[in-house]
Amino acid sequence: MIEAYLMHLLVLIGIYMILAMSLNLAMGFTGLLNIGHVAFYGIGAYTSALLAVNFGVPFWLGLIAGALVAALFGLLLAIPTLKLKGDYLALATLGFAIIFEAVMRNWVSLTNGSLGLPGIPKPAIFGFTFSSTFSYMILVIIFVALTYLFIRHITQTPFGRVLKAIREDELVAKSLGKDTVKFKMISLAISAAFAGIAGSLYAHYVTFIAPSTFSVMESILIISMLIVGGLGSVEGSILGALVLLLLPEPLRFLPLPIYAIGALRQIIYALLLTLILILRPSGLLGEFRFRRKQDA
Amino acid sequence: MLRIRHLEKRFAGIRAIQDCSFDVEDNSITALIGPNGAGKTTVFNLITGFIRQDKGKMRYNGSSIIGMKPHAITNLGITRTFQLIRLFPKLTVLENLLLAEHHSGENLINAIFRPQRVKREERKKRRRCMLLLKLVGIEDKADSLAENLSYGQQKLVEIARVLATKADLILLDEPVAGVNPKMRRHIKDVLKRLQKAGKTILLIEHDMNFVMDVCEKVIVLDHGKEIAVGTPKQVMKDKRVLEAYLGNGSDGLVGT
Ligand SMILES: Nc1ncnc2c1ncn2[C@@H]1O[C@H](COP(=O)(O)OP(=O)(O)OP(=O)(O)O)[C@@H](O)[C@H]1O
Ligand SMILES: [Mg+2]
Repeated sequence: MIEAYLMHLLVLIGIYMILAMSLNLAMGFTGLLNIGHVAFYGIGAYTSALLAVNFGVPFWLGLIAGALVAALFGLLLAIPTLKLKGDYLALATLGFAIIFEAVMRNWVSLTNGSLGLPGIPKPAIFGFTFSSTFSYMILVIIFVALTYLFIRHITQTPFGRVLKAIREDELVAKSLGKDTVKFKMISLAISAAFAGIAGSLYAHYVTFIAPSTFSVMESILIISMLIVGGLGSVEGSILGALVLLLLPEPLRFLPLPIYAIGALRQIIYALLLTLILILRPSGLLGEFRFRRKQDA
Repeated sequence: MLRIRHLEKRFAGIRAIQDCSFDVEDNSITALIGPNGAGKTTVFNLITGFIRQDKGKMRYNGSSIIGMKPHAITNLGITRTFQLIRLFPKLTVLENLLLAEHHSGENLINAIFRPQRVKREERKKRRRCMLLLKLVGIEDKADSLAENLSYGQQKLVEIARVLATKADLILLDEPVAGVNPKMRRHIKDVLKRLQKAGKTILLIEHDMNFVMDVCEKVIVLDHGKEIAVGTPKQVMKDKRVLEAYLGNGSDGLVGT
């Protein structure tokens, strides 16, 4: 019983690890203030769920489609906002996340609205169905590992060095001949693609998705994971997801009503964030924090 | 090499640059001087595409650079430093230099699918950047974070970074401001060596001794217009130049 619950928890933590690592690429490494990461998560989930439910598209194809559609929306969002100065991207992504949730809620004929989309099949690859929690945990762990290796690799290449340079001082990066808009677009698209993968993994695990799963508050949770773990550290994102999701778990054993536990959880997050920001402003493993940018 | 004609730029009513024209000759070291607020840095911002001019022509090696994006102008062979030092603070000194040049590993496809080639190129570039650090005398700081260096050392990193770009036209905004005399001589040597290597340098500087020492041509800017052009000796005797400086009550030629 406890084991099953732990494995279930691990699946969810793994999905959040992918979300945190992918957001870190855009936010921690490139300095793009993306508040709507959750929308890319939702796009991945809905894309692969709808494909599976309506057309019987196999899981792995749906997963790739989810990643691609999320990346496409990342690009669409990037084109008008990344050329502008300042943090328009923050506003655009926030607005995008709110609109996404509203559309999923109101486009009833497609998404079944607030009632949610049930009956998403468990993934099957080469005839093997990942129906047990254990097998799904393994599947998620593999994706966490792949995400980790990929993002760590690209951030250590000269490509990643340019991302960090843009984060540090975009104007100077431009003056050194870097097409910074292009780099920011690629970074955001990859970040969105991995969020889409996380969404697809979530949808096919829970087998049911509803718009409320992808509310903006979820974005705040992911951003909190980055801040706790440290912006610009892939390992930090893994640690941040682990800490934030495990920390409130002991609360379950307290004899308290559900609503009180929910509130306590928020209080614990707030305290933890405050503590971290005071004691270690750049997070447990981080190298960078947001600050005011200079101009020419 | 660089030809500027009737350049004009307004900021919300004030005319920062008006009808400004000058040339920078191939392989020269030219100074752009003038009182505070004369528009010198603005000229750099215009040349490098950071801001758009309102009127006027700018040609580099015969072709217009009007309307080009900053990175595209850099890739033509023009590079700059900033009046206030601007390094990438959380990157190492060596990484700061490595960013100055195009690297095939900056292309994501290469970074993912051609790791061996990228590694080889990285090794080569690191060796070259280490040589540049040696040239300016801070090779022992290669792996320090840029933000941990002293002011003078950061200035040297900035110059080394400019060298790493392989640009032909180098724009320096006050390269020796706040630098001690020994370091100033050192920077002068570096600039002379660059000239020998075929580079063209346009620099903004308030230190007239330095300008007399290293520059063969001086352009004096006042209220966004060039008021005198000539050798350092010529412009120092120019009446309008003296008026511009004295009338402005700022630092400058007095006593030099
Ligand atoms: N982005 C901007 N917006 C508005 N005004 C500006 C801007 N940049 C420069 N100016 C104004 O243009 C004028 C010229 O400024 P600039 O920085 O070019 O002077 P400078 O010759 O470099 O002076 P200094 O020797 O003090 O560095 C100043 O009046 C300045 O306030
Ligand atoms: Mg200036």
